[in-house]
Amino acid sequence: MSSPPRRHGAWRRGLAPYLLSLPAGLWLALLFVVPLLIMLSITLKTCSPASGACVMTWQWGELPHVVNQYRGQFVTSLIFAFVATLLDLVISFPIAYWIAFYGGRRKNFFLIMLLVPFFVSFIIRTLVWEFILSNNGVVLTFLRGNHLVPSGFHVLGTGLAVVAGLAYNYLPFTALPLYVALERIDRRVLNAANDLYATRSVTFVRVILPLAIPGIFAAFLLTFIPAFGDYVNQEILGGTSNTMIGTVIQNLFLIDSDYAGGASLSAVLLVISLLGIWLYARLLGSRTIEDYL
Amino acid sequence: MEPLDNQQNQPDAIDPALWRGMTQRRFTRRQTLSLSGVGLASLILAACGSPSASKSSAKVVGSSSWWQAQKLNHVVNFANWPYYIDLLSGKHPTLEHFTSTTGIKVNYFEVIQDNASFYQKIRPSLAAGQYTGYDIVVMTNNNPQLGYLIELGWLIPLDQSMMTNYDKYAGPLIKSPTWDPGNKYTMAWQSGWTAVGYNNQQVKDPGTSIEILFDKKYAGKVGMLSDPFELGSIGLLAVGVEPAASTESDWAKAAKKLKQQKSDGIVAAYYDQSYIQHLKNGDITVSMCYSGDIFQADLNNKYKDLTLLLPEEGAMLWTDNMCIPKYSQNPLDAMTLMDYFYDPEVQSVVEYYNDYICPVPAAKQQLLNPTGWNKAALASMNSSVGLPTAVTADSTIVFPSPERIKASKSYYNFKSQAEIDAWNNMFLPIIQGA
Amino acid sequence: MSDQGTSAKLADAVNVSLTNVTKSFDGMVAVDELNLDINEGEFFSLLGPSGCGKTTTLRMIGGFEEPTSGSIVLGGRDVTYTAPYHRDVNTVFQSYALFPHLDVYENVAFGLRRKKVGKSEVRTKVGNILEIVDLPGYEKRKVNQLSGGQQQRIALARALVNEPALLLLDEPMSALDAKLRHQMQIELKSIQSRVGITFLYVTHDQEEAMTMSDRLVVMRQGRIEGIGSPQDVYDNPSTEFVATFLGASNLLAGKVAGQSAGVTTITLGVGSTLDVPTSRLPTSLSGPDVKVGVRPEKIRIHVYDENLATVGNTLRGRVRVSTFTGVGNQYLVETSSGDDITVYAQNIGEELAPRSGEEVVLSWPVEHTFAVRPAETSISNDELAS
Ligand SMILES: Nc1ncnc2c1ncn2[C@@H]1O[C@H](COP(=O)(O)OP(=O)(O)OP(=O)(O)O)[C@@H](O)[C@H]1O
Ligand SMILES: [Mg+2]
Repeated sequence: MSSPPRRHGAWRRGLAPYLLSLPAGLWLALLFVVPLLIMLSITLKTCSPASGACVMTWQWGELPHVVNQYRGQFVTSLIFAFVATLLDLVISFPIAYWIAFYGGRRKNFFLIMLLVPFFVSFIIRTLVWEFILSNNGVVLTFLRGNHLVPSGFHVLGTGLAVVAGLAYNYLPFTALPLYVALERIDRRVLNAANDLYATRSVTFVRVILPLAIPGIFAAFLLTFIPAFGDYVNQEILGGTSNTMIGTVIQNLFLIDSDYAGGASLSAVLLVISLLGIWLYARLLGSRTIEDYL
Repeated sequence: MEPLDNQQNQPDAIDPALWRGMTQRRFTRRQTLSLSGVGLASLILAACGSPSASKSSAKVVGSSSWWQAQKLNHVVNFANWPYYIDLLSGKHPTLEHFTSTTGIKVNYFEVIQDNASFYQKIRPSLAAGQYTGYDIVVMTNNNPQLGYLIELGWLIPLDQSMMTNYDKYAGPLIKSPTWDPGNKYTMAWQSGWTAVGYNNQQVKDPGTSIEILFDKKYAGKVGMLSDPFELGSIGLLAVGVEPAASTESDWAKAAKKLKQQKSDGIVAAYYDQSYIQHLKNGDITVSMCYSGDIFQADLNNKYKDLTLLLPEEGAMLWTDNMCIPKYSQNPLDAMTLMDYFYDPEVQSVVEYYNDYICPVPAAKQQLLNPTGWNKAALASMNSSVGLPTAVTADSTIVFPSPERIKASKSYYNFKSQAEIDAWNNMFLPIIQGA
Repeated sequence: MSDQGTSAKLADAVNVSLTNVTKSFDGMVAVDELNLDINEGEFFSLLGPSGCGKTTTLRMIGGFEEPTSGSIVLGGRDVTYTAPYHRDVNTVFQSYALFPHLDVYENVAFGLRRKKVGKSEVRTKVGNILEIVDLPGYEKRKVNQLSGGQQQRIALARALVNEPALLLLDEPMSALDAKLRHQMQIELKSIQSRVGITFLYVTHDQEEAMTMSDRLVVMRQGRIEGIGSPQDVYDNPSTEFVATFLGASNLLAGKVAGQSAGVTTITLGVGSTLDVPTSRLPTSLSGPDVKVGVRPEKIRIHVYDENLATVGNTLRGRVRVSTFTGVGNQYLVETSSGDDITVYAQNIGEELAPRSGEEVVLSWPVEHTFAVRPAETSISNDELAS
């Protein structure tokens, strides 16, 4: 009878994948799942702003309360993040397209050129935008001087400035996935399209664009999600009536010491982001996400 | 663990209602009641010292016998706000002088950007019964965090016997203040006004009223502060109410006025410390401001156009307070340094750089006629400050005239966390508009 | 396979004419002064070792690459600089290059849609062509769910359905296993004979080229080494390279000694001579040096016997290696001049097979002897491996 050793072998083979995934699993559990659960549990706790001590009180009321209270900021964030993401797509598609198809041997050079500004700290970059867009900054001084805008025209403090800041700061998150998507389109397939009477523009619409769709969606998610939760751009470039939800969360945690409120809003933010990813996975398959992350 | 050890050392028993308030968020009254028991227990746990800390000193922390048992360690760690102490080519003359005369080395950290976030940084150590890394921290009286520190027993009561300079030279404006009667826990570092600053090139008829902040003429060019306590207090002054004597219904009135100001498009933005940069840039022409910022800006020829206005309705007077957080490892060194700053010679050097409201009136004479080591120090600082010491000495912003003192208003003293929450609920939504 | 398409001749074929076509990439010449005429309706193959310029030639005809110089004419129209989508040419790419985002139906219909063919006509045509490539009912399948052979046939259908005047096929079988490849070869050939369009077929598989082509060229280093019908090129190779590349050849170095009555005599190293029909001598000999060739299967091998009577060319030697291969015997014979000659004898059970070490006599008819000019550049093994 050879069945016992064989069973033993099978058992070991069956266990192997789990053993192999153990380090990654522990890593995920320790650095992602546990903090996430702690954050979620805080939504049900009552914390003292003075001592910082939290007690589990199973209060479910905080979440609907803050969601209702900050509905407007959610909507603002959604709109700003959406517009900034669209802007990024429109701006970075031609750039990514050009680098992918015409970059030749200097592709990497162009990519690095695209990324160089982003080696500078996020805050500094945004502060520079504040400087650029300021009323006495180069841009507005020039425009006013040439009577291209009315004398009272200002950008800083408006939603426009926030969207511009978001779009600028998250551009690489759009450009890189787009580049990857375009770069890996099989050039022979494009030859085939030309061969089958598709002109350049038809090839673009019928072949390049559809093949880039997963990349476009990935770029959208990768830009939209962080832009949605952003709290720096609005703080520095925004005005009085365009607070984003990230700023609210930051204030709840750091100024108001309202941990349950902050955690609740964070949870909602997380759910919205997961929804986007789920939608992506449903529409385009989960395999393709990995390619861009 | 002896949970009551800590409570006993509190000079005044804490009102349980206040504790209850601290544990409460925006819940209904019924919810709050059901919570209070739990909250209280947890607070005691959080506030009580670690067993080792409470056992190592047989005496109660901060008592005179406790202080007698302390020894100098010849080092002190001092956490303060940025640009808040005399500076000469990267060094602080007053601190150098202190070290050379006492042998106590000062590690000076400019780490405090605002009360709330700094408090969050040191709170975990305090809650765990551990040294925060600082022997002196500087907290403002217009935010709740100083109150939290006192109420939770997280400050070491000062050694009153070591406050010789203080007793002699501390000015009436800051001595035994309402937020710390008898100076049990704090000594003022500097004070200042939250008032109005404007660009005198663009504002030709500033008037004398706080209404300039609400003037539609400057729509889109007015800066307000994002600190809800500052914003609310200015709102109260604008509706003619003494902030210190205000009620919740006054707060509502003030909030309404501020909301109107915002919806009229008058406010450019709600700023933190960055307002001064925007005022300098010309992004705004009028702004709520801190008095010292305007004075310091004026020292630079480029920003000569900035003017401070202390409105007739009054200006909010705030004070930054030095205090010794619990579990400090060098309390005696800290105490020595704190009292050192009340030497008029020392304070003259600090003030020559600082230009906030000086806690030591006698420093004025020292600025005009320095008598000691400060003579050389002031002289060497002259070129970097750029103005004669007399300008500082004669400034009514640094050494306020009696009228200015009279026009200074105090902040509302919160009696419970519920009041703090009510205030925040009133004014935070204005700052965080969607 | 269905009979539906049999009667329909899908297109009017065109002739292709390349004149002095040169293509260089950054100074490196890939195709060198190529002159080529392909007749309409012909199945024409480009054959040659890897890197010899086959794909480049095809890509220039397809319009994916512009010649550095020279001209390309399709059916009388100069298309040298015409975009691919304006040429009545379709390509079956080496890698299939199917559209991964479209299903089988849309892949095949792609060209028709671009030509604005009516909906119902598209449906009929796609249906017909799928029948022809033996994949009816696969319309809704995703292309990446098809086997290699099926993808291959879809690529073929996608090109054929447009009824082009010229079909270019770039190593379309390279990824298929031997059996499927053979099956596809037959299928392709039958399609070709049915639709009657011009096929330009690129391969480096000589057997494939010989079985399928009406005519073929052998290319080397961007140039044509030999052209003609498979039998022509095989039996009468024009260069040493063609002789070695196409099938196995025995090539012996010699010198032209004299001519008489349509026969040229060539002396080998140690005095033995061979006769070659003068018509099969290379036209451009630069000196007396030639290489005499004979195919292994044309040689008869006899155990040495003093009384043996032979006709034609005769050489003596000794068997070094004798290998039985089932259908025949393969011998490696060392001649008295020191050359190695391969002989292939079919196993028809006629004679006793010579064994290793035995003295033998090799003989073959003069008309099966050819001579080529020695190659100027030596032929590497890489070039011959296909
Ligand atoms: N785009 C290009 N850039 C530079 N060199 C190229 C390019 N395309 C082809 N070549 C070079 O031209 C020569 C001919 O290439 P080609 O692809 O035509 O060979 P081939 O005969 O099709 O070979 P294979 O049988 O391996 O497919 C090769 O040396 C190749 O390296
Ligand atoms: Mg090729």
